[in-house]
Amino acid sequence: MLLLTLFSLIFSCVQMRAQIPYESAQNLENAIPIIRSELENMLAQQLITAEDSQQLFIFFENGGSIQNSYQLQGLLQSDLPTIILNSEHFIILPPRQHRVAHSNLSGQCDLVAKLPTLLHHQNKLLWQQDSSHLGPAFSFQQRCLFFYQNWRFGAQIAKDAGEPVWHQHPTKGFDFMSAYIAWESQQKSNFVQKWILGSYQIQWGQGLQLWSSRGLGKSIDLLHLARNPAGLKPYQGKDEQRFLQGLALTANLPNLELLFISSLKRIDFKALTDTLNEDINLTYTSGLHRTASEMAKRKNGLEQLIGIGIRRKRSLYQCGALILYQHLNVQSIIDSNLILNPKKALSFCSMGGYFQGTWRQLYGYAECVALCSQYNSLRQSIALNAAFIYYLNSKLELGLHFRAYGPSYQSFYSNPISNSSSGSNERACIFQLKWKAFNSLQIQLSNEYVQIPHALQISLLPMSFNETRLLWQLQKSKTQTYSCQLFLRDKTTSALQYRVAFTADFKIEKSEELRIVTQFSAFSAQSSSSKLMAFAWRHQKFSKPLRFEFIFGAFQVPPGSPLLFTYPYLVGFGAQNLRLNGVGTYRLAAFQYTTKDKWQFGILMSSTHLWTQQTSTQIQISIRLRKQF
Amino acid sequence: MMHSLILFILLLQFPFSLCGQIDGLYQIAYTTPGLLNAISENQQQFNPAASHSRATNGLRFYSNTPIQVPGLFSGGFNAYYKFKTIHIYHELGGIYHISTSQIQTVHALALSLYPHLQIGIGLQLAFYAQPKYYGSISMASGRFGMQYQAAPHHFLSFVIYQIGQVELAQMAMEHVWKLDQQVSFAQGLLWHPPYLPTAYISICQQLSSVSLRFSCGVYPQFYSYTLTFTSDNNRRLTVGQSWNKGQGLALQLGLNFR
Repeated sequence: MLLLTLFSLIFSCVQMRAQIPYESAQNLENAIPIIRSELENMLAQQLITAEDSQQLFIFFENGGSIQNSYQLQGLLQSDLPTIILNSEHFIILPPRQHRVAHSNLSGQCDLVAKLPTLLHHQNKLLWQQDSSHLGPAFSFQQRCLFFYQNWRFGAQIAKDAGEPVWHQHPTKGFDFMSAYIAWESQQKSNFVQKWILGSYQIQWGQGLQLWSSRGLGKSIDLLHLARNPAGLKPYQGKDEQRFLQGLALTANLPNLELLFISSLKRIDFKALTDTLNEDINLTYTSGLHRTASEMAKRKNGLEQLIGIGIRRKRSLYQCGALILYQHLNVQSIIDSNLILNPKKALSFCSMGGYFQGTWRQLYGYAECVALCSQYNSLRQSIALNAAFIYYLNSKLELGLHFRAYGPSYQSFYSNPISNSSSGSNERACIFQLKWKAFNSLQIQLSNEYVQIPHALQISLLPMSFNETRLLWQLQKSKTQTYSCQLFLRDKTTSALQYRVAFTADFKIEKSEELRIVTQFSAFSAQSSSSKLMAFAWRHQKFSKPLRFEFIFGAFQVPPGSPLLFTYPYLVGFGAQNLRLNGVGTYRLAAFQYTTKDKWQFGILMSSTHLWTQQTSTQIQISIRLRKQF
Repeated sequence: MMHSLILFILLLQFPFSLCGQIDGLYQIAYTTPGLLNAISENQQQFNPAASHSRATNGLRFYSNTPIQVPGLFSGGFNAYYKFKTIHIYHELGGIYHISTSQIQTVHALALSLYPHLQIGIGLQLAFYAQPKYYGSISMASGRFGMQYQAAPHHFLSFVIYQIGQVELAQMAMEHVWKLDQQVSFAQGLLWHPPYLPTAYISICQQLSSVSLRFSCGVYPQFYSYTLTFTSDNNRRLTVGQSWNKGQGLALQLGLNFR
């Protein structure tokens, strides 16, 4: 947690640009703490831009916390005068002071529902229903969250499109349910600082041994080369796989922090023959239970985790060690390949340690985990990663990361910097550079060489590849930002892939933002290429209850060309993930209306038109209702 | 049948479209690219938002004749005026060939939301007829455009055509750099997704009574130039020629009264 604070401190000292007051907020009563749950509020009040909001969201997801105003300079894309101006509305408190006791009962309830997809085909409008799906074609998620004094309680039920609402087998209940009760001490002197009973997330070290939340991918930004473990936190997400369920607590020892976790959870069991894809963990499925075969996997495994960790945190460094026992008990069909595969075990213990710290202008971390299993040799079951980041001067920062993950290394909930979430059978090195050529121009370079040394599966032969990313970011003024990213991937087993993305952002007024995006991607061996052009207009006026956003895009992804992805960030609905294939256009429109008595209503409409032999348009409508009390 | 008609519409408009992009952009062939931003003249013909504060009223006639396609002709007239704070535009035009014809009317409104941002919406009604084979079809669609002055000499515009007719949807964007009072440079993209995007550049020089515009681009390869003669009493005569790979030469003629 202190990691980026330290970065920023050093960064600020080196650059001699420490211009933001430490405690910025003049009026503490009305100031907004810079924490994850307030991001939407900050965005609504236009204290940060949507891009900055997304940047902070990723930062918080990675376990970071803002403890110092200097951090904002490194994190936010906005220019310094804007940050200084807006910092008057922020409050930055030490982490312990985030624990505000709620004297009265407070909380919020959320309902998000997505209606079945409408299909417009041959002048007819039809509800789209896949005949192989056994449940209704709508999805919903209902969440409630309550605070009372030091207590916190959360519960949710959810289902995806095509899943039955209620299941009879193997356990009765809604398709997905989770709940937790959590208690957090306000006194640092208490022995028990926090405990959670129910569903929770845990982030430890650099994600090599235990990091239950999903990864956010590799980033070109040096700040994301290092992860900041958030430790223990309650879970109320929609992901049906990546969380733990049981009892977990943190306790205070003299100069040390003790962590105890236990988890017992029924999980979907996905055997290797289902996927032949090493990217997917042994027990990690999509969480969908729509068809008979998907439902057959539902909760047919019993996963147990128990672990104890200890860590020491100081202002300039932290280190920790964790012993973790992981066991999977498969109750129904067992894949014979899995049993015969000596590389995968169903029961194992891992021991790991990590260190991260700052020395002068150098920041570094390392994590090493060893797996103890009766099937594999220790040498092949070790995973190691390390990184160094050096602030050479005010305009140049360098980063180096290397990793060596043994072929037999495995963990149910690893999520390290890697090309796969399993964190095994990989050796790689990343070099990154961040150069501020001018005040308005920043150039970032990231080069990675990856080697998959062993053939663990037929579908994944040993190979190597390298990736290069080059990003130019030109901020002409606080209202205009242009960025251009070049991506190259040279793989031994396939042709060179290159991609160019250009983005222009214009802030017309405080309430109006325009964005133009173009992408081009191709394989060198093919004449066809993928193209995307999109335009977005966001209106969010301060103090007005209505906010909306429109996006129109056209894409051309011929067969054999690289797929395109875009991640628009929509008012009230957050980041959307669009995977584009074929030739077509898409439109997104999001509206959000907030009443004075804290009701919030949102609607998202999206339509995608594809030019295929059966030309058709898909229309999706989602609604969101939130009440804060 | 529906798809056949759409194909028919595409074929009908193809000789007039600049680069094989569809939509009723036969107007573009009438002049040249580089007209999505209203730098000195109302351009709501191409971008519903592109109204100009000093060119508030006007009437324009135009025609376009591809030489290498016998018997093919397009033409029409449009009018624009200002009502309170809204710039209104009307157009009536068509394409005629011995075997087929198209009539369309476009109506657009432009509004300045902020000092540097204008938005515009338009409605297009078109009637396509080929009585001897496909019969006829009517289509209604919308247009949406924006024009943004990013800096004193830089203009950006973005337009979506044929909203509501997804098979014909097309988008265009353009940047104009006004180098000085006389010379401006434009670069832009036109794209109907089933085709390759068309990229173009355009340069325009304003002399005392004549302005010259030259444009070229790919795909397909094309060039065009126009000469606009301005008289003292605000009459303008535009003559031009364009060529693109596939359709060959076309002649353009326009008359504008302000």
